[in-house]
Amino acid sequence: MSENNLKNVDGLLKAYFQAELPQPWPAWQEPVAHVATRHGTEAWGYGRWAVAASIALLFAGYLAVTGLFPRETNGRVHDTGSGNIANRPVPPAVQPHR
Amino acid sequence: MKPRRKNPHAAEFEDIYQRHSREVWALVYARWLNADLAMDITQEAFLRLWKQGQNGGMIQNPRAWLLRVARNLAEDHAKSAFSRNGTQPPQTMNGVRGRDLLPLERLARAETFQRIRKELDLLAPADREILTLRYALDYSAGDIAELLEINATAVHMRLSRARQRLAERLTELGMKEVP
Repeated sequence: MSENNLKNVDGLLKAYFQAELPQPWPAWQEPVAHVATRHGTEAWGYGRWAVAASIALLFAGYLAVTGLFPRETNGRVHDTGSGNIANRPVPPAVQPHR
Repeated sequence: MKPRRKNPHAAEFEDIYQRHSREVWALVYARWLNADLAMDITQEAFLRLWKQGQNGGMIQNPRAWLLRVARNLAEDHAKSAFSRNGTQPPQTMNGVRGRDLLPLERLARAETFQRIRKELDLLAPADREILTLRYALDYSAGDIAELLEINATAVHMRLSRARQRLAERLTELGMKEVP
């Protein structure tokens, strides 16, 4: 291989690598640490309150709805209302027809 | 307005970045022949060093630490390359340029560089490291030997062999100079 060819390859490689090298070279940027802002903290606080209020509302709703319906205990329907069939007086026994 | 508090180690870190970032880039570039990827990995390596400093970790030899981390990151990229690139190796996209039409001269230059990249890709990674340091950073054989922790004679031999091989191939392709 002639000296001329080696010089050519030197020129080619130099041009190639110089073109690949980023220019201008980027400066170091110190990373900015993430600090929770007041706004972010408040938003998170409001969010938590909203979730807590929703759960409380859901529970209150559940209690209100279940109060509207009779509650069954030990296989018997428990209700103080007069309209309940369990509280009606037992009708006299019907004599069998002879 | 309250002035931003300056990190006391910022100047020292900036100095390390100025001294070693190009070396780190060169070694990663030699592995993948991709300038953008090499820059991403370089930034990542320095970010990790910065975090070490923030956490109070003492690095005795930042240069060696950075080179080791950058090499590992480059190898990690190799392991995950398949999932990102499918069946095509990442080098496939190296020569792909934007849609904008290039002037003829620029196009010829890009083609020449693509052929050089293809030939470099056929060399051993260790040879590419030496060539990158020599031609991108203008490092002497002594500088390269010190950085790679190998014998200067070995650097001379590898450099000479790689130049010979490239000269043969590029002459066969009729490439003598950059358009």
